[in-house]
Amino acid sequence: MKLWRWLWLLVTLGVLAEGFRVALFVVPSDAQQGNVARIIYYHVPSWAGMGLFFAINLACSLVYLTVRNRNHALAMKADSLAVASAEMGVVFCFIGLVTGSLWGRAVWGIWWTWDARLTSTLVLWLIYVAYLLLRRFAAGPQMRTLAAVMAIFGYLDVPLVYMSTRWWRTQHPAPVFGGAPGSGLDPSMMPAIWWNLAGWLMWGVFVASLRYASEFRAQKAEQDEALKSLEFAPVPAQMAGGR
Amino acid sequence: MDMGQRHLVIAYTATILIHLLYLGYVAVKARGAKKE
Repeated sequence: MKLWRWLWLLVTLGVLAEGFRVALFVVPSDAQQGNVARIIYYHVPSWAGMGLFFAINLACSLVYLTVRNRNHALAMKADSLAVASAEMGVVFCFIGLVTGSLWGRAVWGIWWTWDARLTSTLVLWLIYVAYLLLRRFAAGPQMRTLAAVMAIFGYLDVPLVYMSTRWWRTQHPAPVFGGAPGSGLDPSMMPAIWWNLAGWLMWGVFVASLRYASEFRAQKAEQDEALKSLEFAPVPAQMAGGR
Repeated sequence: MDMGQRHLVIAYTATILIHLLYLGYVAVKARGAKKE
């Protein structure tokens, strides 16, 4: 692993440790829900991570579709980053669903309900799982193009998830951040949000960069193999100028 | 420990475990790509 990655990991672990300490031992517990509301300090960064990495996936898919026939090296980089960011987004989305379910059971008395926020989020997770399955099991040169197109259509669910608590009445609470006037966390709780937001996003960047590097290396090896097989392929007599 | 505290502990533990699990997958992939 490169030196900058080790340094990045070291700082990330420090930020995460501080986030953990602040979330559990420094900020006050919620006046109504008690300690269980501290789940928010891991729940919200997971959604932020999901939003960030699915947006990166969208951008890379657009770049791939634009340059795939003109700039093969850039297309390969964009496609590798698209895979890495989609996987990272799926992980963050899954954690958001799990932590939300645990929180819901303690506060609402139910693990799950089919309201607009929860359902659209589950659909989003399934879309990106399908995207990864397509990449894993589809063969042929069109696979990457199909995956990029699917990523663009899949991303359409992200704004729907974000707006669902504004457009429809849901079991999930109204927006805490960027909601109606007077909404938001008490300022005394914000340090835990900021530390954990920074820590988990840094963690996501670290893991996604590792995944990107290995995917790019694999694609490069695949391409080199294909070129080598062309190089040593027997040249037909007519093409070689023979009779 | 009441239900709220129990669920808080499970949520934090699950978050960390899922991330570590994925990191393990990434490490295996990286090793495979290096061997190629």
